[in-house]
Amino acid sequence: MNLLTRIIPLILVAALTGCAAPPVPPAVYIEQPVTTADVDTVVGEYEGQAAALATIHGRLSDACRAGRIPAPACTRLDILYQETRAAFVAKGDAYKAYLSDPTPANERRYRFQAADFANLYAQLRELAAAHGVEVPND
Amino acid sequence: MINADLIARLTAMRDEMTEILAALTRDDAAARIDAAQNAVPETHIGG
Repeated sequence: MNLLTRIIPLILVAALTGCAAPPVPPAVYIEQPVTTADVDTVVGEYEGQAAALATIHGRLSDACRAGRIPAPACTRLDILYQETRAAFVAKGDAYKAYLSDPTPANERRYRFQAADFANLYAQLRELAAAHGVEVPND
Repeated sequence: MINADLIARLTAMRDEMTEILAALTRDDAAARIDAAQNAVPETHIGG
């Protein structure tokens, strides 16, 4: 048996097994625990969201006052903005409570408030953009 | 040679400093959160 007849099966096996694409990990999102080490990151993100909310408020107010957005839509935007602002404040308060007393219950409360805010904030950004208002990055 | 008493005192000092640093971090974070909350207008859209 010459050398080629020995090598070719090995190449075929390698091609079918070793060179196969690596398995794709399942798309599972695992939340990282909140620790005091990431306080600066969390608060920095919060400050960015505050600045973005203030900018959105200003741009929406200008557009509503100028009549570029119909009055009923302004009313809807105002309701959504006030809900978003309340959720933003609740998220900040929950994080402060968690930092003062880092119990699992306080962590759950913070995560709940953060998710509530994220949902409303996304809706507000989407609705503002739908009315031609440029929404800033956080 | 470092004696056990010195190690104990240094360990206690380290723990105390860690607690002080954690408190400072909390206070700083709370102040920044308060400032961020106050930066978001309460007024109505268009008002």
